[in-house]
Amino acid sequence: MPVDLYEITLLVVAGLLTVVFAWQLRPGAALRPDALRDTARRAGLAITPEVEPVLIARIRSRTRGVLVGTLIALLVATASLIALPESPDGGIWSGLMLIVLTGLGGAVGLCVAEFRSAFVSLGDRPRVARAPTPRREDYLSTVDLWCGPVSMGVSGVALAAVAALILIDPDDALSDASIPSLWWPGFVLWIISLASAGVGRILSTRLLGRGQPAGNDMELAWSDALRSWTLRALARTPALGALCSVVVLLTCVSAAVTPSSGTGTAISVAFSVVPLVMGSVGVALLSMGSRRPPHYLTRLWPDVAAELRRGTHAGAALVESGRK
Amino acid sequence: MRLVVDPHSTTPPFEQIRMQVIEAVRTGALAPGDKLPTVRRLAEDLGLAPNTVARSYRALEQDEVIETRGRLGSFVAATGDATQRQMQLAAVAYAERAKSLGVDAPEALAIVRAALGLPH
Repeated sequence: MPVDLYEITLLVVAGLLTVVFAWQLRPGAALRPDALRDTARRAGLAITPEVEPVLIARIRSRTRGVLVGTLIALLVATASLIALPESPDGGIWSGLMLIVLTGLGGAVGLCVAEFRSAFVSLGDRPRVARAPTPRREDYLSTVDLWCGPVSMGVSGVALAAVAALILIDPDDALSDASIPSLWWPGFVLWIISLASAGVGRILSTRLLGRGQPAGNDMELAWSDALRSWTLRALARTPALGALCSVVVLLTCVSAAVTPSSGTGTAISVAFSVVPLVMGSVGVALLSMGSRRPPHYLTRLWPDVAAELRRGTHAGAALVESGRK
Repeated sequence: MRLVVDPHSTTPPFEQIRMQVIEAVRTGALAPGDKLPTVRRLAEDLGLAPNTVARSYRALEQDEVIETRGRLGSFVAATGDATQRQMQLAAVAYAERAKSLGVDAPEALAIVRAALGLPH
């Protein structure tokens, strides 16, 4: 039975990625030496001697969750890509499908690890709980809350606009192209991002209902930090899928359109401008977020956030003070 | 607000929760309308059996400190200071009992003062 180059490439890439992930999953794999310090810096929290072993165990469990989720998603993505027809964009779609599906798998794996952390035993120590229970808004910033719905809205409008353009085709620029072949790769990615938004919402709600076993405020704050990262991963996956669907859509249409026509020029301009605008907005939002204390600290631990805000390197100072 | 349950305390866990919620409502740390964690969530947080937390919530509901709004969950009751109301109810019950036993007002007050450890 003849096997085409596309399938061979796909299987080789998937095989290599599987080997890399499986290697990281091996028993006894060491934690990166600076993993704890990086985590503390990101969280804006100190690592006390009591917290350190718990944190190491949770980082390991989360890494394992991400890797298992990513591996499962990689297998599903590879099988789907082999089953589905090739896209007309020369393979960009396949790569983006792998990225989006493995991103979703990783986020779900992270969530499973977070679910399991609710059953951690603290022995006979006193335990701390909080009332009222934090909500989604306490863990996710406005950008995180809205990046998924806005991106999906934008990509939905782009899909509709391209469908209309293909149907109207004002200067016969797309006369040789088949409508379904131009539209479906972007649409499949959009549907995946819609599904991941639904899955993410269900998992987020369930996760917020799960306990956070903690013996003191520091442990609770760390639990909040890890929970906020999990929820953020779930919230950002649909945005990634939606933006990838726009890129794929534009790539497919620009590959099929006659370059000399007015429609062709418009699509070429859109193809250069849209990724640029998306990239700029993404970089601006990320740099804005990196300059502020983490959102969960501002909402749930305002005193710690205020301390972080006061000094330029207060985060590092807090981490160091926790080490003493 | 923080709820702390100490397994080594002589006070039973359900009573520890009940007392801390009442205190939080009294001091304003929990405002009327604030939602309490679900029974399952609080049980997981504190490492207790769900029945223990449910018992505590039932007692708080009976004291009118919290109210359960069906599937929406349990909320801090919005009808005034629950502690004040409970104290008034207890005072009325005590006064009626004193009357039924033929104890006059000065003697009833003296008994209360003694119970509170105040000088006569």
